[in-house]
Amino acid sequence: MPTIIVSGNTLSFNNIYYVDAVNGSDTTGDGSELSPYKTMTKAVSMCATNGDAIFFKGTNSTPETVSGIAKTITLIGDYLKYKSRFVGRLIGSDSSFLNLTAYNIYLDNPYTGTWHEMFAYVNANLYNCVVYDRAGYSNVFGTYRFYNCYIFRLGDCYSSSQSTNCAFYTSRFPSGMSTITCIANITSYTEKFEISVGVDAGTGTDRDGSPADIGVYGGQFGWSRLKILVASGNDIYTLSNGIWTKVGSLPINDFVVDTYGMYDVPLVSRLLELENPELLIISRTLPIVTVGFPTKEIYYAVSMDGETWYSCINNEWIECIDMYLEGMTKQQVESINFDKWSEIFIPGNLYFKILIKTNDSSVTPYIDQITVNLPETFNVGSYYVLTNLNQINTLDWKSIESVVINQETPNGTDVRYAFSLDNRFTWIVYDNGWKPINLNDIHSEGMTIYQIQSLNSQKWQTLIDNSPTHKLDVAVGLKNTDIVNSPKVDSIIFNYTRLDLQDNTEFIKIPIPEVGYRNTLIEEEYVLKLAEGIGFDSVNTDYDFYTTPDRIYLKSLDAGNYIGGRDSNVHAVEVINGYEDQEFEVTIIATTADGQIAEPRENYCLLPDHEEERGRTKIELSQIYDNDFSSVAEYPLTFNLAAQAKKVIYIKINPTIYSTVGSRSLKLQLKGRPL
Amino acid sequence: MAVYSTDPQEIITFPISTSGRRGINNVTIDDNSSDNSDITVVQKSATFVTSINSGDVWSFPINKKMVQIGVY
Repeated sequence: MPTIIVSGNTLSFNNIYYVDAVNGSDTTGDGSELSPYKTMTKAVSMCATNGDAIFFKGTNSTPETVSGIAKTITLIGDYLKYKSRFVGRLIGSDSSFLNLTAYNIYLDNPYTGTWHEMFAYVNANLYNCVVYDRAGYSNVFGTYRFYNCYIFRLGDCYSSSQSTNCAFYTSRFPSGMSTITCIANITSYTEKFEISVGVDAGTGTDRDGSPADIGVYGGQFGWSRLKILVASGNDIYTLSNGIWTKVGSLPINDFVVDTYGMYDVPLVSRLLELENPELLIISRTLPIVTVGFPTKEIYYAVSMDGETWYSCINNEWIECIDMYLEGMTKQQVESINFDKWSEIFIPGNLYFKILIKTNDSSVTPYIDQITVNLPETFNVGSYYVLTNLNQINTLDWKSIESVVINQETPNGTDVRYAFSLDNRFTWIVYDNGWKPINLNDIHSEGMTIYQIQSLNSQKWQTLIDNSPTHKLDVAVGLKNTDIVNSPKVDSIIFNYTRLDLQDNTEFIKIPIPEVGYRNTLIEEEYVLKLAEGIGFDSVNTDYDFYTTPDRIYLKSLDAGNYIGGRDSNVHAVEVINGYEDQEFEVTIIATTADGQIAEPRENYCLLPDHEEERGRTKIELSQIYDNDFSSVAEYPLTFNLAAQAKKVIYIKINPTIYSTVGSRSLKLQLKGRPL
Repeated sequence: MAVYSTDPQEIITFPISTSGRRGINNVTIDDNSSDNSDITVVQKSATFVTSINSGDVWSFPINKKMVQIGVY
């Protein structure tokens, strides 16, 4: 049911039809706020017999007479903001009167004389309206009830009518109109109908609870006495024709307020175009400020070290200190592209800090999962000492006849080699003689396969003759600039002769481990599962779910809507000991939402949520995450938690119920025993 | 009915390993924060600044997490 705020009062209707007498259209408009009708005639025709409203903007240049209205209609305007002024007449039916309620609109009947009255067959309740009826009679057969109206002119009333808290321009009240705390002969009004007489002199109260003023600014639907300006730093701004304009500096003065003050608050999105905007509200009464927040607020920051947190706002990384004001929305996190991530990326770990807040205690925000999409990548630029575990003993070698390497170097890849004769203390390569290199430079200074295989026996001989340890080590440097291709070394074969077997050539083949240096394609996606729910279920329960920072607390988990017969995802829940100097033994068990404790079974438990055991929900808890969750599960889950320590535990749920969707909620109950 | 704290709560996730990676392509999040049509309106107080002939002047800072504001 659509609602509309009228002078701070929220009113509901079955339908609200909008009329813009200047910019609307009866042919292309649909009566919505964005596409209003042009005429009252059209809007009235659209109203049902009862329960609908018309919001009227602007002033119609051609008077309208709308007749035969056998309906109950509410007419709403905002004169100060929209110059809501209906020029014309509204006529009911002699068999069924128009029951009209009107708020904050100027009703102007330009017709004069008898039988040209503003209303006929109308029972009208007018709140905070301006009335200018030039006809002799004002309302034939109908009855008026005016509240806090300003009446320029009004014909005599046909039936007994009544005005309360109204101000009359005329020196006498119309015939047929009884009055309660009304004032006649108010001729000094400006276009804004401001009143300096009748303050607190009316019947009833204004919206702030003070005694009602007389005239359109008084009563429960009193026109706004507010004016709005916006401060940004020391400057004062107004929104004029959609553009922010600086109109002065603090301190504020009457000239700026009177000349540039706005009647309405700009949209928050517009306000935030200014730096640190602050509303300046000029009011003769205590202003009521209502602020709308998303019911569920979730903000994110990221870190590579778990200590310094960052937010990417407006495509710039900032250090995030105040999570609430500086954290990113889901949309902002998702808009960060590879290049932007690269500005802060350090290989190692990625952490998320998440602030969750509900503004409605019956609604909980939740995060189902965060998926980090990582690029295909290889371990690049590394070097490996192939002989770390199996150094080559050259004690009985007489000579090296040749070295044969089996390797693959697709486009964009390279492999280089270096050797060591002194237990890997120094590394050497042949470049017009054996020369030392820094192993970190192997990619540029190491030997290629061609250089190695072209060395003759004489050049290798230096290695044999000059080895003080008779040990030979080989290092390999792998490099690629293309993530698609990987260099590969299958074998390095030394063909050598032995001192004791001079006529035979032996060979030794260096085994190349499969893991450790060959480039490896790493999985592309990491899905982080988080618990659902943030709150604690009841302040009256004997356990604490995520309460205060000086207690052990635990995120709650809502198991609703899990699919029967299937394992759930593994959820992570963080248990935190907020005590500064107290260690606890923590025990976690599962219960149903209404507190029935689950039954332990081996290393898991069953919730008592079904009569038959085979229909009960299986809960597994674990201190560690493993693909074979059942093998690491334990129940009840017990562990020690040092002061100020945190521990992530994992939960897997299998609601093996007959129906397809679980309907019972799971709770995790935490017991902390001081040690 | 469950009653949830309206105080902000902070979580720090356990680390996601990015060792050996050359960066992060993107991150997608499945949460229920995007339903912004669900708005909770609360009443706040403005701060009195001064009085001038036009009336009392009150100030109210705009928080960028607000999605709508009304003054009456």
